[in-house]
Amino acid sequence: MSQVIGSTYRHFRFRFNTTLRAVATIGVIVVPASASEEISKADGQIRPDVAFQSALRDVSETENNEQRNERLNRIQDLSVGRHDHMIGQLLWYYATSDEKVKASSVVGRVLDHHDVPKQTSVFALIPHLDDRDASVREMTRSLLQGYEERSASRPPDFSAYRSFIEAKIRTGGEPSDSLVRHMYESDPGTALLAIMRGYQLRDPDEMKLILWAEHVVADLFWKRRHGFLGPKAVEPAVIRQLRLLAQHERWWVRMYVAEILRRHPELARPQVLESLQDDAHPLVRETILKATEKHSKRSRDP
Amino acid sequence: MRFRLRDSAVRFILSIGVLLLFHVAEDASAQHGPPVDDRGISCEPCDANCDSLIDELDIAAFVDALLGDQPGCSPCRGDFDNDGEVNGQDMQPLLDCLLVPPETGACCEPSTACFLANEAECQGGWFGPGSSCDPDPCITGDMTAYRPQHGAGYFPFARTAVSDFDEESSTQGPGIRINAPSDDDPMGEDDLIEVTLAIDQPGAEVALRRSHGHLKVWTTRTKDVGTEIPFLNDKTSSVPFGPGETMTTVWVEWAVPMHGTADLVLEPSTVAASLDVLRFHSFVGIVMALGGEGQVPSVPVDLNHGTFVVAVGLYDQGFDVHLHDEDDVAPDGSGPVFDEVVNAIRHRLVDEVGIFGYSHGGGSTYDLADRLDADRAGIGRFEIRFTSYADAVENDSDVDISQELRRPPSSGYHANHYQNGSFADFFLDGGPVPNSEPSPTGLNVEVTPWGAGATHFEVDDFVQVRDFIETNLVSNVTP
Repeated sequence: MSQVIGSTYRHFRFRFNTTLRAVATIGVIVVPASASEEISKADGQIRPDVAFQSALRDVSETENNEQRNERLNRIQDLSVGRHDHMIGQLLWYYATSDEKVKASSVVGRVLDHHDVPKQTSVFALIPHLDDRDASVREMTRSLLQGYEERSASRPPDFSAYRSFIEAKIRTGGEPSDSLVRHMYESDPGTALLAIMRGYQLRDPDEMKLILWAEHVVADLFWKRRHGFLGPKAVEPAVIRQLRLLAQHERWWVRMYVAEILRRHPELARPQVLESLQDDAHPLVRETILKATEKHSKRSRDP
Repeated sequence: MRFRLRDSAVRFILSIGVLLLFHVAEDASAQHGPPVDDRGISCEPCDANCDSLIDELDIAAFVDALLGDQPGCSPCRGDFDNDGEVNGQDMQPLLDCLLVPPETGACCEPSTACFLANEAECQGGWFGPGSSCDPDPCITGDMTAYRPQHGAGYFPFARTAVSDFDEESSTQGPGIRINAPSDDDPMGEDDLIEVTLAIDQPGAEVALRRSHGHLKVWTTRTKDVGTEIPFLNDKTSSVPFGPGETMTTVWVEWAVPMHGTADLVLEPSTVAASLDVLRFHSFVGIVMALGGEGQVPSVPVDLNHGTFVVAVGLYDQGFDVHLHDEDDVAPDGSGPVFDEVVNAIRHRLVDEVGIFGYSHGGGSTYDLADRLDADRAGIGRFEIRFTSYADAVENDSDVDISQELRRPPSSGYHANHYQNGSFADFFLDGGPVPNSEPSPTGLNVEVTPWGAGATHFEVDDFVQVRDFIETNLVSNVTP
């Protein structure tokens, strides 16, 4: 049943996206190139709040700690109950600033001053992964990366992403492609497990299949990393697990395979590459295309 | 006393005897090859008094050698049969030699015009018996080596020649990466060293001699098939120059997975005489320099990017230095900088690492060292010999403003310079780091006369800070 619903949803979404894309394409053709930049700023998802932007500029021009704290407190007052708004304004401030070092330090200082739970900030940031302004998207990714607390000593923390996806699923939604892409680009293994939990799977057999496959692949990388295998070593069990997951009905599982093969072309096998090249999900197709290019290059190089 | 008298008498009789023989004998013409002394240097036994002339004055010195009571001016004087001693067997060859002195030929020595000399007299290239100085066979030649490439060219460094002063130094001369077959070159083959050869006259034939089989020479930087210049007994045939050309470029490869130094000598093709020498050292260490937020490597180097200024100085001193944007190090330490260091350790036998960075580049210095240390078992044997922060800020994201106060894991020597943030630098600053130099926790530059009132944007630019980093990296990391 869930498969049928999923399939219908995908079909609807595909048609909707196609319509949207057509409209957007016409818009781009009609609007001259010079004007499109202005539209990007003016019609983007973030609307500049004059008072907020002025307060942020004031922070950047403080002359001592006392004054700085006073101005940071003012921003805090403006943000009460509107954390999403504050995040948007910070991103806007950064994107439109000519002095990026100064702007990033102001953004960092404001976030530091606000004692806001990580999850709240991450939830507010995620929608901006789809912002029309490239510098906003870039800043969003950088901020999210900071909340992942990546380290050489432990896996990244994707708990906020998991929570976000769970909330979406519970209300009948889906995580955006941009979030899934961001998670997989950051850490494919941690992403797969976080998304699996976020999607609220209940069938132990299905969960075990994903868990085991990720474990087998992660084990190969662990062995490589710590010198138990060569840097490009391949284990047949990994190839089997990737082949299995490449046939999985859930696109975000197949996306895991595509991302792994993009990063590690030595694990790619023609049959898997071919099957994912015609995948129903555009993100999987896009990723496997990059994997195929790398695989071809690797085959050509001695 | 009586012994001395008797000794003098023997010497007198022997001298008379040899002189008589010298004047009587006329037809002897015994052949002997050029002997060598115990250092392998060619020397002339006939020139027994080492005055570069073969004449009657050598007789007395020969007699001294015969009696063996004085150390000679050369270990082979008088020892014509090269049996390690001067005895009666050497007397006839002496006479032969005095009667038929060695033939002269054209001799080319550095900084002199061509002149005629016998082989023993010629300290440079000797063109053989009967050779002439007309036409002048002497060639002037020069080699210039360049510092290592990065990818398809030299960026982010300028193409930098090794100075004549440094070119024979075992540490500051041309450094070269070991180019083992398994070496990974993600940006393409870039491990060969460019060497230009210059001669003073078109058509002059010069060759290359190597002191060790570690060196290979190619006419292409990417080792195209058929472009290797082969060595036979460690000397090439004539190096190809274009018609009428007096300059050409070759590319030198260190092709054996073993460290050391090796000389490349430019010689005339027909004689063994050095025109110029380059001493290559295989890189033992690797140095990674990480800029601050917004600092991007450029040529020429931006003088306000102190980290890169230090890096350029080290590059010119014979180190394998790599400049990077700090975001080439992910917060978990992975990325192209990590890959480059791991590749150097695994495939180029590098075992000493130096890392330094400014601002977020300091935070990335920590992240990189942490990752290298965590992954040691899989990487191989190496030491992080040197790390340095200049007003380091953690780099978990572009807006991370936390002071980087953690010492890079396993660093053998850590330098730390910082200032206190203020409105002028948006309150960005580093801070004291345990076990840092200058001790006890690094230096707050604001307490010094030269750094009073410094901002975050200046710490990496103070000459005192740059010198401290450079001096201590040179002391701790082998080029």
